[in-house]
Amino acid sequence: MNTTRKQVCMSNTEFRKHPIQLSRSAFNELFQSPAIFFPFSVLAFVQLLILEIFFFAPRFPLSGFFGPIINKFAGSKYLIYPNNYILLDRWFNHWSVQGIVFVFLGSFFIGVAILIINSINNEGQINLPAIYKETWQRYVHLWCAALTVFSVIFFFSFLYGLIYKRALLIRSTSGGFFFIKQLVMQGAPLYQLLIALFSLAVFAYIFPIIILEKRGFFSALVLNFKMLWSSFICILLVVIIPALLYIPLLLLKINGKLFVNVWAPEGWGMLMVCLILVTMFIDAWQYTAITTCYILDRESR
Amino acid sequence: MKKTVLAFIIILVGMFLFLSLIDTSDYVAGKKLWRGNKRFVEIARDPNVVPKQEFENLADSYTTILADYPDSQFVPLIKFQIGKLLTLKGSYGEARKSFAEIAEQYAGNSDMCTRALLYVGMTYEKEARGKEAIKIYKKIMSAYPRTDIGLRMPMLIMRYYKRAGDKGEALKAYLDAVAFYTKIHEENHDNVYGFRALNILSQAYLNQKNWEKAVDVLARMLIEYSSLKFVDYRKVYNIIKTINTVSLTHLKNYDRPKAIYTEFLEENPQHPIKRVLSEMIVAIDELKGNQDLPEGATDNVR
Repeated sequence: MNTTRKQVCMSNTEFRKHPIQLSRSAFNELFQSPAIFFPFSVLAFVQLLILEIFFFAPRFPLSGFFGPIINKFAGSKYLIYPNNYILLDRWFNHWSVQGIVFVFLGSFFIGVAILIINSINNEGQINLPAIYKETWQRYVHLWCAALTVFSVIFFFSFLYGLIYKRALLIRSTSGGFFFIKQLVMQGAPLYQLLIALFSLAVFAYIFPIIILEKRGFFSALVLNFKMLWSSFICILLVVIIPALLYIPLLLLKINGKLFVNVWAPEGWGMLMVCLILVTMFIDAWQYTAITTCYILDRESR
Repeated sequence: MKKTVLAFIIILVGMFLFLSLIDTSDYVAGKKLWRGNKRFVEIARDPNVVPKQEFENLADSYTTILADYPDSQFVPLIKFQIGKLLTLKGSYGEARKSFAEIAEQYAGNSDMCTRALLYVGMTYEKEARGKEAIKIYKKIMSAYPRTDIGLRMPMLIMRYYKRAGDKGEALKAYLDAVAFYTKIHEENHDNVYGFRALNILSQAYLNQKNWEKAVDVLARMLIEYSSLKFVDYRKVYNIIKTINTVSLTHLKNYDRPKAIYTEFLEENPQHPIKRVLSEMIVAIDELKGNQDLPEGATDNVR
């Protein structure tokens, strides 16, 4: 058994009481076995590539293709500095872009990451070609799982959008209603983060079950809820703890106007790159912790 | 794995550098202009405390952008910035020369030309040469009446005389403005300039506290331009709000706005704002009802 896991728990049944220790052991495991970062670095590369393409979209030579699209769907002002950074943020964070990356690529590389973590935990060799082959065989089920997670995030985000639109109609400038309005509107990025974290926690075990137990999507979904029934709070904490790293950058993003008015607009682009890199680290940490929880939970059954 | 991650970094950095180097588009010119404009805004906060060298440096930056990107869409904007910088510096003669060159170079572009001439007039005002400034404003008014700046000139002249304390000339300018806008409206009844002329005319009447005429003009704006072709919902609501405020607060006339809205609804029974106007008529009736009751009539109700 991996020594970090030995350090974490006295027994496999006690892990649910030690989410912080679990998280810490996952963090240590990341640095002891940096191979875990590899699949997430591929995802980060794809995200950075997309960001770069969108960044150069209003500029020659990509403007030859993107220029008319930007003109038609956004307006010609976004072809000009520094408005292109607003468009960059809007396009990059659009649900369709992030959805396609997560569902088509994220599902595959999360599967790869889980197999790598499992290999490390079993103190076996990491054989990437074999891992890719094994993940590819489960790809359809992983794809369905990723689509389900994304659909849940999208649904709750849509609900939040309705609440946000309703908050916009509040005309009070002081008092309780104004406070509610500010709470709903100012915290938008934080609420989006909480929705994503909650959705991830609710479907935490689905990827490990599909990959490690080689189950189909529907039986993995049922088993996920059965296993989570007793350890949901632990999983939720294990998912939230790494995500705390995201909060300072999110606060910077909320105060984005500072970049344009006080610093240089390039700071906005740098912030987006930092967010991608931090997300890579957080994802690696979360899935290491989730996979460890899953393995301990499975052994306790 | 390490080699793969290194390859990723090389691809991303390489692509970034390559695309940055081959970019010869207006984007780069726009970026340099934005930086220059940021410095311009800082200088404009208090030009008296800024060293002369700062002005020179900024003017050089603008000139360099002009030289490096002579075909850029930002060339006219940069030329205006140079003229405005000279104005801030206090070099009014040079600024006028710069603006006059723009007016000459872009004689076919009425927006550009009127803007350049407006700045020429403003430099005369700063030099306390009001007569020359008024001459320029009148020239814009007569040569370019169907432009945004041309339409504003009569009001600008009126405000100048008011500031100068010349009541006689201010009154004359006000009467000239009324005649001007009425003529523009008659000649451009079917286009946006007709609407804009009425809009500014209503502002002139409100400025002079000529409430009756202001309401008449606002009524015409609402009824004659009901098709929302030139008028969006926000403008419509502003017109209604102004009619209500002026009629009820200044004229104490509850029937006038009702008559306006009733006429509008008769001519446009399916208009999108019919519900708003119908509710407005009911609300005005209620207000009027409360006004008509004798004093003490509502005491028992309380």
